[in-house]
Formats: sequence, structure tokens, C-alpha cells
Amino acid sequence: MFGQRAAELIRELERASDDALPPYKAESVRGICEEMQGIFEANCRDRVNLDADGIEQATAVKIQHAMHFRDTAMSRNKRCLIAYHYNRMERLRNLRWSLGGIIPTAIRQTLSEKETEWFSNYSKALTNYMMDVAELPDQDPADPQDPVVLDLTVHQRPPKEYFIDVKVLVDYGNYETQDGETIFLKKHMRLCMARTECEHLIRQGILQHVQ
Amino acid sequence: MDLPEMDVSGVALDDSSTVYTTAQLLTDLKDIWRSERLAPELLPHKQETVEMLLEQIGTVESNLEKAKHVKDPFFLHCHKMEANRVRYMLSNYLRCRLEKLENYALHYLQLSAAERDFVMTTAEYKFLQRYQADTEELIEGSVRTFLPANLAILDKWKEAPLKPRLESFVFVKPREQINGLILGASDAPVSLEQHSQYLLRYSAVRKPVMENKVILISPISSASLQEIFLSSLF
Repeated sequence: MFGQRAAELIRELERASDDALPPYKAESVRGICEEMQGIFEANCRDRVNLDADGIEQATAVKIQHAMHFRDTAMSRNKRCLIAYHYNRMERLRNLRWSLGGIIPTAIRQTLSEKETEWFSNYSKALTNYMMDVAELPDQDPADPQDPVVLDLTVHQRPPKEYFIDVKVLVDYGNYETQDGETIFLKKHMRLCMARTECEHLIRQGILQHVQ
Repeated sequence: MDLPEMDVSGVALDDSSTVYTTAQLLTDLKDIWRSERLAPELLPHKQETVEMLLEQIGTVESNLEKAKHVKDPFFLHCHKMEANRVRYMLSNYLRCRLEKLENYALHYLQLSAAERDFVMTTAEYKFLQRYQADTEELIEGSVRTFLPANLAILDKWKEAPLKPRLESFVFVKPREQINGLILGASDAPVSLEQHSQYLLRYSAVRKPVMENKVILISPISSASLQEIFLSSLF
């Protein structure tokens, strides 16, 4: 039946929880495309039949109805394919904001080639945007200053306190802070760190915020 | 305790006719941030305010950097915290705008040049164009190889772009008295009083919101509503 696989594809994505990214169904996508190819070819054939000379009125009507039906199936398949890819893209976008520019290997395996490409393009677009927004201070040759960059991904929670207590969840090793100091992060350590320093480490699951 | 070499408050930015103080800039930021977060569509950009604030943050942070070794750390942290709060508000404001652009990308790409310059900055437009091109490439590229070459894939999607819901309801608070507001085709014009609050369709107050004559306020959150409901039960 037309459109069945497409509906199944959407349903599967819908069943996964909101921010989870289930493995890319390359097989199903190809299957749907084959179905669409079949429809396209059948319609092309019928188009020729319809234009043929001496065709009976009754047959022509039948052919037109069949074509219309196939066309509807085609639109539906297209719509499902777009919805599938678009929704996955939205989830991927959320990942960019929560995990940063590097995709963990576990998630990378669930992505298609095109999606990986999209992810790096999106990261680039975002970096370019942040650089465009960055403010260049009046340059004093004697005392060159760095531009004021607003990293949109760092400040995602309202800062209520400057320092927070964190617990180290994994053996991370040396971590360099913004002041240039190095801290050795070892599992089970308890630290009091500046919030801006550790916000992205918390999101990566290296640190845990303890109240 | 005084902070002699740290000039962090009330800095006048330039000598031109309009002089903004930090406090004023921050109040402006709070207003535009709140309205942006609550409005269903993208509001006119405030590039100057954003740029001036970034400059201020830069000044404050470089001052803090210089004062690093001499100052009482407590005061340093207070100022750093304050700078971080401004950074948060700015980031959240810009992020919120990007989110709207992403969600209604096709719609915002169809605006005329004049409208575009009014609502978004060049940087935002550049981002939007790139984002949409990449997204189309993702969707089309994923299926293109399996389909006949002359079959259009994105045609229907592009024909009906997702648009911001201008008919949604918002809580508003006028900053000044507003007369002759037309709410519906058959209704008489109404006036909005200063210092009062209204629940209206966004489309009715769209113009005054864009002119910043009306600010949007957040409704009571569903969590606190639930609290009220529960406390009335027990």
C-alpha cells in the first residue's frame, strides 16, 4: 500500500522521546524513494497512454483517476520524508546547543552522512554569527585587546551565584581555567568553581552541580 | 569601601547628543528582552543597544582584569557576577531571536529588503540564509540520489512556509496611554491606559509593541497556577 512505509518512518521517530535521536533509517528512506520512483514512472507511462490517439473516453477517465491517486500518494510520501528529515534536524540542533560543537561518538553513529555535514555547517554558521556580533574595542596599538565575544552557548542559565559546588563524575585530567590555572579533575572530587568555567563541563556530563 | 580605579557604573559612552548611561541601557535591554521572549514574531532589531552593552561589558571586564591583583576578591566577584548577568541577558535575547529565525526561516527569507532591514541585523540575515541553504541541502541531499532528477521535492514545503502566530494572545502593559486601538473589525476603537494590564491578541498591539510603546509581560506561570489551585484544595 502506498505511503505505509513513510507513515511508519514518522511514527518511529515520534515514538522516541522528544530529544532522543534514534538511528537514521537509511533503509526505509531508500524504500520510500523507490516507491516514489515507481509512482513517477507509472505516471509518466500513463501520461503517454493518455496522449495516445484514439483513446476511449472511459479508459481516459480511468487513467486520470489512477494518476490523481498516485499523485496524492507521491505528495504524502514527500511530505513524510521532509518531516522526517526536518524533525531529526531540529533534534540535532538542540544537541548543538546542549553539547557544543563536538558530537559524542555514540550519537555520531546514529546520524547519516548528510546530517553530520549539516551539523558542522550549522556550527560554522553559528560561530560566524557570534563573531559578527562580537564587538571590537577601539584598538590601542600599545595595548591590543581581544574583541568582546559573546558565546551564546555558555550563558544558557540565569547566573544566580558566581561560584557553584560541583562534583567530578569522570577522570578528566588537567583542565585549564580562564585565568590560565590548571586544575586536575579526578573522579569523586568536590570543587567550588566559577559558574562560567564549568557550565559546559556540566552539560558534557563531566561535572555535576551539587546543591 | 570605594573602588578608586574601577569605573563600572554610569559610564557615558560618547560625547554625541544622546548619552546613554549603563543603567538606562540595562533597563532598555530588560524591556526588549522581555518583549522579544514573549512576542510570537521577531521584533525590530536593537543593534545599537546590543553593541553599546557589549562595549560596556568589555570595559568592565578589562577593568576587572587590571584590578585583579590589588582588589578585595569579594568585590571583584560581585562585579564579575554582574557582568555575567548582563552577558546572560544579552545571550538569551540574541538566542531567542535566532530561534525565531530558525523556526520561521522560509517566512523571514521572503520579506522585502526594507522589512528585513527593520527586523533583523545583517549578521542575523547572513545566518538565516546559511541556515536555510544548509537545511534544504540536508533534506534534498538525503533523498535526491534515489529519486528521478526532474522530480521537485521541496516544492510543496516552500509554498506554505510556517508563519509566526500573530493571532496568539499576549499580556501587555502600555508605557503610555494609547488611543484608538482597533481590536476587531466590528468593534469600536479602545484606549489602553498607562499602568494597567491587558490580555489581547498580538496582532492588535503589533504596531505599538514594535514601537516599544507597549511592553509584553509574562503571564502567571502554569506552575504557580497549580500551586494556587492546590493550596485552595487543602
